[in-house]
Amino acid sequence: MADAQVPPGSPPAPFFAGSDDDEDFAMSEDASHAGPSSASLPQTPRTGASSARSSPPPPLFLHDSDVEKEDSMPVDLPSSSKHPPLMEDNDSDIEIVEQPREQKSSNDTQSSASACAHPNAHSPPATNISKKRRLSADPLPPSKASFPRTYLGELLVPNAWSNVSGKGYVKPNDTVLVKRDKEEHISKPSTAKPKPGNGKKKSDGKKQITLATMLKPQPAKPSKKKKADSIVRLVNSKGFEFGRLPTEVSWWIAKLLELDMVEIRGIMTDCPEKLTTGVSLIVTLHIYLLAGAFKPLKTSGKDEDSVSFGFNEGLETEDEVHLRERKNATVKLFDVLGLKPQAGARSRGKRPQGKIQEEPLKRRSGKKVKEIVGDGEEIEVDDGEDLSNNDIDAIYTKAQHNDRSMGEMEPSESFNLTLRGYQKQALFWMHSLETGAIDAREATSMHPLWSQYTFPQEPVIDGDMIDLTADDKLFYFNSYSGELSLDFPKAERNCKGGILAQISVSMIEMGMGKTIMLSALIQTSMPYQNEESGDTNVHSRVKQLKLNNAFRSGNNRNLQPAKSPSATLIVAPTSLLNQWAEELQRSSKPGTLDVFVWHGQNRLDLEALVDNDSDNRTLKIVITSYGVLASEHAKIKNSQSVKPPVFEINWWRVVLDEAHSCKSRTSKTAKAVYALSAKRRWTVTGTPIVNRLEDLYSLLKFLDFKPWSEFSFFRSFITLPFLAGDVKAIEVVQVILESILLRREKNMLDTDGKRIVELPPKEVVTEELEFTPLERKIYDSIYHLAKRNFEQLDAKGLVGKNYTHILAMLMRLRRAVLHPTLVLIKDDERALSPEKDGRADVNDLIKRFAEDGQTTPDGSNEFAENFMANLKGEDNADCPIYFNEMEVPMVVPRCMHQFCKDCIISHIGICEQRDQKPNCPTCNSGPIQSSELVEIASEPDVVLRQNDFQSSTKLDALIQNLRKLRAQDPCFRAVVFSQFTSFLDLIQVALDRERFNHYRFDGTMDVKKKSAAISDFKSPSRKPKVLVVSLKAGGVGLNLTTANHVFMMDCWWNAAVENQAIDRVHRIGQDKTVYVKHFIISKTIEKRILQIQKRKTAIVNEAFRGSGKADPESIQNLKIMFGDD
Amino acid sequence: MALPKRIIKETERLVADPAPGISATPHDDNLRYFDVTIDGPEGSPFQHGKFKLELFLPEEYPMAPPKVRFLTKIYHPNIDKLGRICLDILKDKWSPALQIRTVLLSIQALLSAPNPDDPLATDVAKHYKEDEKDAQRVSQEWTQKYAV
Repeated sequence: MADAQVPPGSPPAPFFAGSDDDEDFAMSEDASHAGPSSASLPQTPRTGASSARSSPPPPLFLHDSDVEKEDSMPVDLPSSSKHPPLMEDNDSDIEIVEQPREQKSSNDTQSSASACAHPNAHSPPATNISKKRRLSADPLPPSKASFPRTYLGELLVPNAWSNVSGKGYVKPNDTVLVKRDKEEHISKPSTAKPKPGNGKKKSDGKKQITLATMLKPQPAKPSKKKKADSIVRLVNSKGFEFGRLPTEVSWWIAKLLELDMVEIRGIMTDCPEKLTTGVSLIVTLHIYLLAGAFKPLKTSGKDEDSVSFGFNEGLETEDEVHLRERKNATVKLFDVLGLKPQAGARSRGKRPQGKIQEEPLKRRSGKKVKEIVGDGEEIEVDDGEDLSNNDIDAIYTKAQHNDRSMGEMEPSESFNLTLRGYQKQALFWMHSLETGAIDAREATSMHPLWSQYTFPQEPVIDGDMIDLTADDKLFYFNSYSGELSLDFPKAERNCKGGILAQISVSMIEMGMGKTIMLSALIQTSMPYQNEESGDTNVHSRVKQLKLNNAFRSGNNRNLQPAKSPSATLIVAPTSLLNQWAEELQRSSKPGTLDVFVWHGQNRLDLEALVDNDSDNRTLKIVITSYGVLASEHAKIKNSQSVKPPVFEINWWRVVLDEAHSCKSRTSKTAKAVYALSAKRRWTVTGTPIVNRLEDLYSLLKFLDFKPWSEFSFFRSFITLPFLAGDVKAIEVVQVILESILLRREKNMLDTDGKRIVELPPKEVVTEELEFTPLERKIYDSIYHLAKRNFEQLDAKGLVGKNYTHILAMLMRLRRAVLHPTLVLIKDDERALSPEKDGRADVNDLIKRFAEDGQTTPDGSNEFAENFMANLKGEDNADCPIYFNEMEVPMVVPRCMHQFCKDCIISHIGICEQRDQKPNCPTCNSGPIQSSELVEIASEPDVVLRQNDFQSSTKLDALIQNLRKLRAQDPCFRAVVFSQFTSFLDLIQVALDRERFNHYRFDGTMDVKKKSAAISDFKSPSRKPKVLVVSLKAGGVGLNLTTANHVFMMDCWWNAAVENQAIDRVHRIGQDKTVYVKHFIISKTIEKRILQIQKRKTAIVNEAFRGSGKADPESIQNLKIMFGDD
Repeated sequence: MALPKRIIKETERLVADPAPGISATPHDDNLRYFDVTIDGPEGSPFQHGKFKLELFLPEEYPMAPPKVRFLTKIYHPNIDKLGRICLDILKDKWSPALQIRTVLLSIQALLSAPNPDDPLATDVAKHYKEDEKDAQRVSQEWTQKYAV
């Protein structure tokens, strides 16, 4: 048990070794007493004051100074009494003993008596030299006096040790004072460097406290540079030090004493009559909580801007170190005393004991990764704290656990649309968050980080000091921050606003109507009506965590404008500005909203826009982009004098859309966003945490969600523990998010158990296709090559090294599945000739096949006419092969026999395979070639087309499906996805041939072209339309609900990506059943990709990202790829 | 695998509109497998005989020809002891435009017109070449013996 509680990496060991020397450099005043020999000399002046009162036995003086005593110990000690050095006696034998009262009864009188005696014992010699050791029973600072010292528990330390030898120091049941050297307040960190001559003992005779020391401001900020010690001295009632606490106890007791958090009274439980250096002492410590423990935590709250970024980022500040040490010590105390919470975070038993310890801080690799934030701003970020999807999952699950039962709220009358149930809930939630009037999520419970404790009864016999009639006193402890409080820590929010996240676990589902929800909020929660109530409410709350936020102070100066804020500012990516404006107008009754898009070169005068005319009740909404904001913010630095109006205005509400744009707190965008001043703040994002926890920080910072908006705080309690592998970090994030995040995903259920969004059904079909023999040949040859290659590499164990190469091979295979020309490097350009659609002139045809002169030029015309007439006249005849109506009639020009395209092509293919001459199946004339066949396209008019386009199985299947669709629904809309733009090219050629109207959307197109493609596709028309989309480009914000047919031409490693693509179509606004068709070629790599999709998708995602590194999992996946069926 | 439309259509037609002297019935458990009966053509040594055959449509059908075999013993130069038939359209002259019906009609025609110049059963062919009358007599005997 003891082992578990003492962190392996915690300070004790090093402290022990070096502490005694180090402690002294802090005592600069003592320097005069320092001398190389002082320690070993018995006749130090140390006893001057205290000895006068207590007449200690002479030997006492021998052992006054600690360090050298220890050093000389082996020499001095008689061999019989030699104890093993205590420092080796590590933490193994600490025991936390709840001593029975009876046993203690005899001690108690003394204990309490000694407690009373404390102040007296030390005050008399106050006139003496400045002794910097401070007794634990220091009088409290006056301000804290309201809280009486309260018993917290007791602790048996069996391995305290003596650092003196001789009789008469102490005997069992004696009161022991537990003392800690008072630290010198170091003005300049640089002076803390130990000076060579300073290392000697010089504390002689100064064990009393001076008044000056007592009046010193509360200590406690250990300079980081100073090497902290953790010596806790045991002093007898006469004031003589006779021993110390072992390091595994002293490290935290020292801290608590330093911080004035506890008072410790010791009882000598057992000790030898004659002390020798190093002998074990058994001491019982009674621990009392002092008012100082309830002091609010402080951080210096430095303006992060002032520090040069990039260097100190990621390092702990002094404050952080301080907070962390305080927390560790407090947590340790609670554990050692065996205090169990009655309610709250720790009572759930979520955290096993021993978890609390601080892992040694892992320094990050420092690897920098470029990311794009805001409007194309490029930043470098550390690549060290990526979250796994599981982590993110866990975080969100908690944040929405009781969302279903949330109340609903009707929007104001000016709102022009009907809200869905979940949107009303969202409105309710957002509104209550803003006003603070109600706690939407029943967060009136205890703050989740806190636990409730009862002060234990002090085991007293005499009872003269303890009021037995007193009620159980409660107090609260935050094991995450180490804070203590007497006030009930209510779960609260300090910011008016929150995060609206509409996403699913895989961050894919968009289109939940967040624009609409915010519009409803803007119109419902207006500045005029509920500003007052909301504000007072918030201010009246007791804030448990008060952090100086220097950052805010800069803005406060500007909060002067007499006008009360009324306008809303919406910041969104440039591409979404107009969409916001449209949506806002659409969702409101005409004339109720004034919406301005503030963007571009000629930006209007903002202040004039926002200026609040007295009788004008329209709501002003300004929409701008991150880019504009960042450039405006840059002006602040250029000209110190005038702030750009956007930062001058005190906004009523600021909404950040796609708020992950400012996820990096050091980016210009983020800084600009922080500089906005607003009463209410919202962030909307699909990904509050993109892939690291600190992504969230930026949002919290903007929301001013204290204390987490303090970076050092966030880092100390979230990032660093997370990096150290501490689950707590995730828990804390959960707690934060629970209070400020509303997350909606499509498949969430509402109060009635129905899905919050009722979407029309989605039918997904996988059509398994067979290669043509030629395609099979091509594919197999590539596959076997790749497989052999892989097996060779695998045999040599070189798969990891050649990972990229293997990925390239796989890529080739995946192309081969789509279309042979995608892998064949040949000069056959036929397939890629989009400029001609292969239409054939009948006359040309006739001429070409009239070489034998059977037809005269005149006759050919006639023939052609007849021929065309025949084609038009009758319905498609049965194909002699297919025995059904011909699907794509083709003519063998030589004999004019007709067949289905498929039938005749495969006939020719098989004949070629058998080395037979392909003849016309009907009349056996021939041989015929596939390229000379003529296709009869009858839409809308009969057209003949040469079969000079090399198609592929998948392409044919797509065209086949589209044809059927056209037959059923002459104005259908379909979306075709593929990952390969080269295949998109081919698809477009095929669509051209089939005379489908088609549009293209891929990543290489600029914004204008993209939006033109989309709007063309969406524009109404009586003709069918097909949109071909590159799988990767069809990402953010694309709304394709006009279509209800989706064709997936290939499969991606990760099914989530495919689903995301499908969700472009299957989302809010879709009113038809969505038909999805995957084309898969049987007996190819595609089947295995599907197999891998079923494995853990997250891992696959990583493994095949093409990062060039191979982990075991991805090699395993490769083996699936090349395995035998 | 589902039966291609073409086979279904062909089967329907065979049942609804059978060719004279020919019947073909698919097995219940395997619709690609047909029991076939061909009446010996009039005026041939096989007259009055009812010849049983089996016909199987391979996976590639109609791109590949059906497999047909006589079950009834027959004395014919182009049909061997095992019932295998030597007929060009069942081999390299197959065309996907042909069908079960045309194949069976061709076989019926083959009974009327044995072709000893392209033999499969060499001894029978020899017999037919050297003494056609006697050979026809044997054919007739066999027909009486096995096919009636």
